[in-house]
Amino acid sequence: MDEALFLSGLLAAGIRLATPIALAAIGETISQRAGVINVGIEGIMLVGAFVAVLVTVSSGSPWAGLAAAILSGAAMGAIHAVFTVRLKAEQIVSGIALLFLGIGLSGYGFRLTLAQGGTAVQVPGFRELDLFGLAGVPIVGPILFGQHALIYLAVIGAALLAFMLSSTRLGLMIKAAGDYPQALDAAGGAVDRVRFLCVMASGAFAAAGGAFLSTAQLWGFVENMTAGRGFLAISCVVFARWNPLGAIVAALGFGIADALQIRMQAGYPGVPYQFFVIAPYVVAIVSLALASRGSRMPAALGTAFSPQR
Amino acid sequence: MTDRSDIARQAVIAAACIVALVVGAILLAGANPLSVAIGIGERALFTRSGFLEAVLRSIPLTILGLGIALAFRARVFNIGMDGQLIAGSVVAMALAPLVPLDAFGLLLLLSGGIVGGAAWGGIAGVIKGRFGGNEIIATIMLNYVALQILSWLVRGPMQETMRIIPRSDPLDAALRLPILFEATRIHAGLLIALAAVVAVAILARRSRYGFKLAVVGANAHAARYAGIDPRWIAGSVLTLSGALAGLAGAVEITGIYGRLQEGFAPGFGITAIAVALVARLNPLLVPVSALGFSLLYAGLGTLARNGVVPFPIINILEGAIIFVFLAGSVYVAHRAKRGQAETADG
Amino acid sequence: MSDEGSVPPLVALRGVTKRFGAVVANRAVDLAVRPGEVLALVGENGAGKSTIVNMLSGLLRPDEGSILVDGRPVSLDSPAQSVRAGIGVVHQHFTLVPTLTGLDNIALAMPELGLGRLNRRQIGQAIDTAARTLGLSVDTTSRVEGLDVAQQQRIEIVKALIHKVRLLILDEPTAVLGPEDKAHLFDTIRRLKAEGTAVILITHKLEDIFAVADRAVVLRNGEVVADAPAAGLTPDDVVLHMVGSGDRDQARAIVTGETTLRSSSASGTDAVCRLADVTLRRSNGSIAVSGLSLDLHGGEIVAIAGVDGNGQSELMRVLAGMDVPLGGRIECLGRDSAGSAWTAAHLRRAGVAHVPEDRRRSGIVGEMSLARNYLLRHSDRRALVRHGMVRNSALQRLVRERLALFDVRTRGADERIDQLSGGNQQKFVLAREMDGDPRLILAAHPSRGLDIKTIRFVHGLLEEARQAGKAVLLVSSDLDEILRLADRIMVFAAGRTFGPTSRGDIARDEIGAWIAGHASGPA
Repeated sequence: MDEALFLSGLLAAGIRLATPIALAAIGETISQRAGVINVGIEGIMLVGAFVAVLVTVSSGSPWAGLAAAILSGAAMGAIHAVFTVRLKAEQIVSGIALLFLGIGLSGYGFRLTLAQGGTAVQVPGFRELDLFGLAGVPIVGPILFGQHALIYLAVIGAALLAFMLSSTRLGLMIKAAGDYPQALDAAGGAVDRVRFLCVMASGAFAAAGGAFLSTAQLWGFVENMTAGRGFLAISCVVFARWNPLGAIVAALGFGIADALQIRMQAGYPGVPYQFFVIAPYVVAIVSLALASRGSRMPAALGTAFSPQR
Repeated sequence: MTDRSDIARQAVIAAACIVALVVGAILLAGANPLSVAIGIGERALFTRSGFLEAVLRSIPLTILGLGIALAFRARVFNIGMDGQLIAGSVVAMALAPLVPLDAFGLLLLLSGGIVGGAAWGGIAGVIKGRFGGNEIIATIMLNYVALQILSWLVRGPMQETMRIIPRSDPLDAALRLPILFEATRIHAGLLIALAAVVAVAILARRSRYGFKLAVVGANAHAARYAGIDPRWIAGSVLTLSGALAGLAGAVEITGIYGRLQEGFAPGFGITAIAVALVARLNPLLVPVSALGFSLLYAGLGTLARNGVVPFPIINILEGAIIFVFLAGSVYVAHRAKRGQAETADG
Repeated sequence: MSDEGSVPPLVALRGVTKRFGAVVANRAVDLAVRPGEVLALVGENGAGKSTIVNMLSGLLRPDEGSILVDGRPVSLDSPAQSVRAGIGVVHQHFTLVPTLTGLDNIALAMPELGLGRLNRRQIGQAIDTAARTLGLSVDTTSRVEGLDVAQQQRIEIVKALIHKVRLLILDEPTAVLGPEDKAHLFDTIRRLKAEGTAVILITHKLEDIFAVADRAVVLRNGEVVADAPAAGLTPDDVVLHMVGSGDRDQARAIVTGETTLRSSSASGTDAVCRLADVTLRRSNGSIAVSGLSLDLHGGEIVAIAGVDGNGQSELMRVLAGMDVPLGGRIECLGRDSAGSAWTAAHLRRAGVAHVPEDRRRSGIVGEMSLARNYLLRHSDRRALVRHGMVRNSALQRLVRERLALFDVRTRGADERIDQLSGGNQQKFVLAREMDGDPRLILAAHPSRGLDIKTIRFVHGLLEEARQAGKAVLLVSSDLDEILRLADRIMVFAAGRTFGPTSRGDIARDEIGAWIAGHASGPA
């Protein structure tokens, strides 16, 4: 029973820790399927995290905070889209600039607003739900029924996205934009418009991940609080071979690794805690080495589309 | 269908919007953008301490920027110079008790830094070169790992004898880089940086290896057909840029701090990306660009300390500068193409 | 000009001019096609055919003049508008997403379906209906990347005809087809004609005109130089119009495949390259060719004929050291495909030169100078690189000399190679590859997309290489080119190999049968 309780607690915590990464990974999947790499989602997550806290504190509603974060993320995505899709600039470089911008805007805004008070502000953040009153059921209750609303939304979002990619014409257009944009263009589809919207969507999802981090997982904003989760999200996309449902499974792997290392820190006080903290990163590095072989990315990923002459 | 001149026009608009964003951010802080700009210039260019601080900072930024320029030329995106810098400084510091206390010992420390950085970059090199893993993710992850290991080292095996502050014991004075100008902190690392500029410029622009880097960066497919293995190039250039990062770390340790501690050279590896991009990946322009960014830092640092604008404005500016440069290169490319004859075969 | 007057033109171009910078692609072109008419649009590469297709399909706008549909001027600013005007296009380079199925590719081209859920059953029925009226059988459930060229083309045709199409434009549809698939295509065209659909057939093959076309329009240098009923034309007339006066005999020699120069096949010498029971794999894992055995000797040109996509590209990739065979063994200039030295770098050093089929992607680095592109293949040469450092002055001198020798039109060794025309780029690539005394020359479609004069030059070079005792492996889908150059001929078709056989021992129609996959003759 103890083991079962431990595992259920681990899984519930792992799911919580995985959610920001999963949301960002869903967004990155959309954008990469359409042919645009966004390495700046770390910066977008930070902006989302900050905006969510700011608006949650001032409005009193975490949902208002989430909505504001999503809007700010879409706006950040739009900057990336302007440079990569409209101006056809190098995607990696634009993403790096976006990263700087996100780190800067979130830290700058934070110091201008929330940090001014001196003491930590109270954030009326998201609470776990109790679906059907079943959250108290031992072992499965906390995992299935006692999570944050956003977690359910993330799973539903990934499922909808998977359905959209496989079974709708919009999905075909997105895949064509990423695999062979010339075909979409010849078929009368607007490659740049599809890509632009997908990059904005990636920003919105990344910002939602940031909002979850700052208003559900932790209640507050700290500069650079994402600590590489945006990049973990990008690696999830690669591990999952550009499949949105696979991406949330990969994110769950990181979440559980993180939950496990937190518990191990307490369990092995003799071992320096730093060795546990690096666990998720080492997992990412090792799986990067093992999973990249033979993976097949969207053929036109990273290249701007210019209609023939 | 977008016209070429249309793209050039949009690039101008995009750049203007980015500038407006920066100006708006400064206004939000209740500061006057013009006086902020003047303040930066005054402090950085017309005060002795501000200028010297900038020169001092430009030393590691130059060395790191050279590493970025090399890797980016092959379109290998090394975002992990911070981790490689830490690895270099740790190895340099670990060698300190073992080396003779003279110039040769100092040379050994610097070499150790190079090896340490190369090894850390080499891990990413193996992941990219041998397994085809994405180097951006690999190098970023290795940054976090290096940070944690450093945190452990200065609290554990490498902590000072007094065991109070998380830092190492100081280096012997004989293992410090000599000060070049009296009454300043400008150390011989400046000469090392300039030598590195010359060496990297020759490597990038005159050597066969530099040529291969450029070929892989421009057309990896043609490179393969010509017998150049892009994976080998990626692996080797990650190692090479890691070596430069390690050198920068060893120079910082032996030139300024004299000991290992957390939070030295904060985010320099990321700033170096902006440095190299603004220098258009030209090694000869890297020191100029590095000094420019350092002046910006020095000026803004003072303003931030005086509470005029919050410090993260510097990150906003870095991002904005890259965006404006991107827009600028788009503008130039599309202006140049306009009116030029395009071949119409096919 | 033909002028029947009774039936008004369905689609017409009136005085259309299109420029790209200083280059005029089309000059004052007049063109008209009537319902139920098959119009052949012929001309050399670069004559301006593709520009006309792109204007009619909404990808380009004319600079001057107008496009009329049913006698009314229309502006075709996007592919969607072109579709709405009733114009369907099958481009020379297929616009199919390789990772999607045929059905999904067709659904992609149906904006009327909206963005929502796909009713794949309904779409499948619509496809079946369209295909049945044309007598076509299409595979719509496999990923396109696994289909052969003819199947892909059928999907393209159905894709174009899924909408109400009154004019179907086929851009070089026969270039990639074997005789049997070509006959099927012509049959489809006749059915379309019978239903009153107009067809514009773009081609540079004379036999296509006389097989299906009602009328032929010949373009040269962007201008219409002839417009006449096909029945009143002879092949000679068309050739003369295509190439202009002056070059008449040369032109006919090239177009009709008349042989000029032949050396005796140099058997008896040791093989430069020996392939034994080789199996080649496509990038998607399927088998392209199996049981391939072939010896390549110095002093002969061996040609691989056949429809594109039957393993020719894979063979070239493997011989260039970019890949290893899935089965069997290749020994080439002392290197063994089973060993670790089977890499592009090793083979190149051993004396393999390669003129790749996709020059811009594999052969050159567009944004680099001619000198640097030369260095791409010769960076091991002591004269050019010493102690790891490039000797720029020596490189400049050598490249300038080569450019002059090969008559590459350029402003100098420092000019960016992407500023050169396709023909000059190809000459440069050949100049570079012939240097350094190669022993085996791999030439994939070396004359594709070039004008007649450059083609002659390229053929001359390959013949010279044979004379100089080098082994040449030529891959081409142009049977005329092969008959003109090859000492021995081999055909790849449907996963099998036919031949090799000596040029003198085989007739043209027999090769045609092989290309169609018929196992008559010494298979």
